[in-house]
Amino acid sequence: MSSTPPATTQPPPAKPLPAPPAPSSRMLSGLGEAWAVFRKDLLSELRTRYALNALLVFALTTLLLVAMTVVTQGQGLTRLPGGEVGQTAARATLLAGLLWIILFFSGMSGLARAFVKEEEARTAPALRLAAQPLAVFFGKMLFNVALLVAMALLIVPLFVLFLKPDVKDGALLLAETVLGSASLACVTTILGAIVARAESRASLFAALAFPIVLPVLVIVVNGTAAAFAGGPPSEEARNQLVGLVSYVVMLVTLSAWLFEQVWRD
Amino acid sequence: MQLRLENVGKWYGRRRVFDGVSLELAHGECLVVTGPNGSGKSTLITVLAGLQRPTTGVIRLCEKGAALPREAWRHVVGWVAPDLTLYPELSARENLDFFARVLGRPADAARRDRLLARVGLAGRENDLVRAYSTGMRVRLKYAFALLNEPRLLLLDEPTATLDADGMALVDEIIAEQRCRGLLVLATNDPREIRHGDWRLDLGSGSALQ
Amino acid sequence: MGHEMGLMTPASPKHRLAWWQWAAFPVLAAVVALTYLWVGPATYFSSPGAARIIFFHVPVAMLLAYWYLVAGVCSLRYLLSREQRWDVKAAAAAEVGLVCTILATISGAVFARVQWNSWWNWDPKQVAIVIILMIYAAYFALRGAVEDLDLRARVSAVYALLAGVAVPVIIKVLPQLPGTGTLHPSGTLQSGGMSADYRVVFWLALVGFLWVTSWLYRLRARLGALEG
Repeated sequence: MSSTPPATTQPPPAKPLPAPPAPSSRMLSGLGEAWAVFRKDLLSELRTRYALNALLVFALTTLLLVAMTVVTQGQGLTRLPGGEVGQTAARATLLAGLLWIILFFSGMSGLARAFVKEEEARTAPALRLAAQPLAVFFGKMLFNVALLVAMALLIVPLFVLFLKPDVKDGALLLAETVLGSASLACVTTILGAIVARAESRASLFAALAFPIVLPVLVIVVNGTAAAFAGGPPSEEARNQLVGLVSYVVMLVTLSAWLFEQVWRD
Repeated sequence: MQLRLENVGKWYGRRRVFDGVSLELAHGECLVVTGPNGSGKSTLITVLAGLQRPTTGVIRLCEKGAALPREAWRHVVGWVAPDLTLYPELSARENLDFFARVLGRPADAARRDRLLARVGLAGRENDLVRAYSTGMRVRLKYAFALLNEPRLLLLDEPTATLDADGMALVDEIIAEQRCRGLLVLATNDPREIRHGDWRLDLGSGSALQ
Repeated sequence: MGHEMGLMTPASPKHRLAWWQWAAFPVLAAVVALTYLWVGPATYFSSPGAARIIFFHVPVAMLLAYWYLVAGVCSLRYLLSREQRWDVKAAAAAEVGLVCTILATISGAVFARVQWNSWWNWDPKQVAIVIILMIYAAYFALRGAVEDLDLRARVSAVYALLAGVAVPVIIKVLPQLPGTGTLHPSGTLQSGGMSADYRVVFWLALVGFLWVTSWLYRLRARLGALEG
C-alpha cells in the first residue's frame, strides 16, 4: 500500500456543491433539457436526413402505388345504389384505411431512428451520462411527433389530390391528420428505444407497434372516413377524438414511467 | 467528495468480469486501475460512471458523508474513454453547447470557447466532428468531460492516440483534478501509473496494493 | 448462480407426482364423462349436441385472460425487484397463456363453424384474440432478439405492461367499428342462463383446466430457472 501524499500541493478544501434546485424549477429545467434534446435531434436530422429520407421515400412510393391501383381498378366503388356515380360509404372507409396504412408503415420505417442512430453511432453513452432519462424520452418524442406530423401534412394533400376523395369536413380531416400522426409518434417512441437495444430492428418495430397502435388506427380511420363524403357522421368522430387523446395520455404516462428501465443499464 | 466501493462485482450472466472490489478514495487522491486486456478495467470505469449497474455490491459518491442519489451523478462525474463518442454530424461547439444545455447549465459561449482552446481545438471549433482526426476527437472528449467541472474524473486509457502535446495536456488536467476532487485512471502505461496514490490490479485477484 | 427454488416443488431424484397432480386426472375424467353421459342437449343452439363445446371453449378463453394477467403481474414485480426469477415466471405464464390462446382460437373456430356456419366471422372477440396472438408473437420475438439476460428481462417486461394497457382498450374500441356487432352472448354466467347440469360441469371444467395449466406453468418456470 502506497500512502505517499499526492505529488501536487495539498488540495484546497472542496467547494460545496450547488444546492439542489426546488422541485418546481427542477421540472422547468427538465423541460429545457428535453427541448435541448429535441433541438439537437432536429439539427442532426437536417444535416443527415437519416430518418426523413427513409420516411419520405416509403410514403411517396406507397402513395403512388395505392393511387394507381385505386384510380385504375377501383371505379366500381363510386357506384351508388341508384346506379349513378358518387361517393359511397365503402369508398370513404376504404380510402381512409388506405391513407392510414400509408402513414402507419412510413412511420414504422422512420420513427425508431431517433434511438437507433444513437446506438449505431455509439453516441448513446454520452447522452446517457449527461442527460436525465425523462429529458431524453420527451425530447425524442417531440422529435418523432414533429417528423411524423410534418410528413402527414405533406402526404394528406397529395393523397386528396391523387385519389380525389370528396372532402366533406376539411377541419375534421386536418384534426385527424395532426392528432392521428402525433398519436402514432407518441405511442411508439418507447418502442423505438426498445428496438434500438435489440437485434433485427426493422421487422421487430412494426410487430411490437401494431397491437399498441391499433386503437389509434381504429379511431382515426373511422374519423377520416367521416371527414370524407359518404362516411359516418362527423359529430361521432369528434367525440372519439377525446377517447384517442386519453389513450395517448395514458400510454405516454406509462412509457415515461417505464423509460428508464429500457434506457439505462 | 469521497468515493466508496463495497464488494463491487460485475457479471455478464455466469461470466465474471470482476468481483469483490472494495476501496475508498478521498478528495485529492488518484486511483490507478491496471490489468491485462479483458480484465474489466473499462467495465469498472463505466460502472463508476453510473452507465452500468454493478451486479453485486454498492458504490457511493459521498459529499460530507451523505451519498449522492444516482440521478445527481451526471453533475459530478466526468468520463473520457474509447467507448465515448460525441456527435459526428455536429461541430465541436454544437456538441459542447448541447451537453451543457442537457446538464441544465446556462449557455456560456466564452467558457465553452475557453475549454476548446484549452484542449487545443482553437480555430477548429466550427468543423464537424466527423472531419476530426482521432487525436482531435480525444481532445474534444476532454472538453466534454470537463464541461461540468467534475468532482470525479474517470479516464480510460487517458493518452491513447495523443501526441506529445496532448500528453502534456493530460498531465496538466490530472494535476488540476487533484485539486478539484477525485481521479480514477484505467491504464497499463507505466508513465501514467506513476500518477496513482493507490493501485488496483484487476488481473491479480482484485486486491488493493 | 443459484436461483431461488422455494416456490417450486422439491425435486427428488426420482420424481413422483404430488397428490394434487394425481388429483387432476379424476377431475378431468369426470368432466369428460359428465359431458357425454349426463348433460342434456341445450336450447338456442343450431345443433344442440354441439353445445358441449362450451365446457372446453369458455374455460380456455377465461384462462387465457388469467395467464395474461399473471404474466403482467410477474413483469411488474420483475421491474420493481429486478430479481431474475420474476422474469422466468413472466415468460412461463406467457407461454401457458399462448397455449390457451391457441386452443381458444381453434375451439372458437370450430364452434363458429357449427353455430354460425363459418370458421371466421370478424366477430370482435375473434379479432381481439387475433390481436392477443400478435402481442404474444411480438413478445416472444422481442425475447429472442435481445442477447443480454438482464436487458431482455427489462425490455420484455416493459412491453408486456404496455400491451397489457392496450388490450382492454382494444376490446372496448373494436365494437365501435361499423358493422361489427358481436354474436357472442354476454352475461350468460352471471344471469344464470345455464341449466344446473351445465353449470356443474362448466365449473368443474374450469377448475380442471386451471389445475392443468398451473401444473404446466410450474414445470415451465422450473425449466426456465434451470436454463437461466
